[in-house]
Amino acid sequence: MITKPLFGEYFKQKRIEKGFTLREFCRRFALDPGNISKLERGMMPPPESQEKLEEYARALGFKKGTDEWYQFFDLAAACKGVIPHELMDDEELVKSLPIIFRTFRSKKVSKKTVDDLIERLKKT
Amino acid sequence: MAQAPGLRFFSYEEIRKIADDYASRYGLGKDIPVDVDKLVDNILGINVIPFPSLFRSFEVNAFISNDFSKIYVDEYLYQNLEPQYRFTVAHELGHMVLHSGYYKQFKIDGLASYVKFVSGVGEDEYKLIETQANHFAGLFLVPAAALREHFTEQAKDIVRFISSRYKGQRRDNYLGTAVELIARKPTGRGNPLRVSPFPRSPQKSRARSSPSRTNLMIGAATKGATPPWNPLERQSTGHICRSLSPIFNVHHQPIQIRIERDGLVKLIP
Repeated sequence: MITKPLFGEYFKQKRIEKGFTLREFCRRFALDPGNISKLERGMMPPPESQEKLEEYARALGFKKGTDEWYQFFDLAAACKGVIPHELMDDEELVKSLPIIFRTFRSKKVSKKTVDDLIERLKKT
Repeated sequence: MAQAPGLRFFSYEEIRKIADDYASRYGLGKDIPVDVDKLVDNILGINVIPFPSLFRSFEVNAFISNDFSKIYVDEYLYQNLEPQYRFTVAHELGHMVLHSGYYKQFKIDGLASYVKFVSGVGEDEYKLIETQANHFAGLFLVPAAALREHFTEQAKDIVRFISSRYKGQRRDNYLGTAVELIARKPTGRGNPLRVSPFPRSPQKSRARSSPSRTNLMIGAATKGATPPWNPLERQSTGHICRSLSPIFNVHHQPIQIRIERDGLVKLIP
């Protein structure tokens, strides 16, 4: 089961409201786009560290003491410790596979290649 | 060519129309560089996800998920190669625009049918699909009007450059040296490939074989499309492509393809 990424959805929504693409956002605030993407998609829980959360809140343009600021920390607290044990279910994983897929060395894509890709998708 | 039912052959002209319509639907194509990242991430809501060593592991720069909700991009490319990143994202967008109908007809409902589908795609079919997406990407990122405007400007610059050196001489006499001079003429905009917007960790900064990657992306699209230009036209076009590359923020090859297809070469002296 995937944990509903309430915190992540909120994060993504606010980032887009500020007019940032994920790539621009991470470049501007020196954040890791792989991790922030996982956070947004609910594949990673909000950080435990208060400091890190404050860094994110400031990057999203929240002012300390405003409703937005508190809502951000409340959502983080609500999702804290809820570590999704299966990040994506099988159906979701199949949907994540490339619309078109080919490798150059081997002409046909094997079951094994697809299995390898699925293993990597679970962590990406 | 053996073709699966549903894989349409789109001519370059058809893709031109599709890409133009798609761009204008989202109010894009007037301003350059075309902000494909913003369209995909902010407007279409597609997650663009860096995938560590995607190319090394699976020999692709990027892919779009078959539900079109995610585009995974090789992390190195995502972090370091801005023009290629933009082209790659536009290419995946091209798959969504051109090939969603083709994919849907296979009614994939699980891993087994997926594997059956991907292993059944023939070599020619695959090449055609990739070429179509490349054409879409080039057309989308290099809008015709902006290209014509900037190309004309650059061509005038070359006319000035040549005429200031060879006033009153016959073209046959200076052609060879002019070609060489243009080849050495600085573009004045720096190397477009050296765009590195991200702070990155030292172990990631080692060189990588980007030329072959680029060829894989564009190779199929240029094949057989080069008209018999004279050396001056060829050299000038190459020069102009390099100058325009940072303006459109794409690699010079998609620009060159469009220059050829739009017949802009005739503007060169």
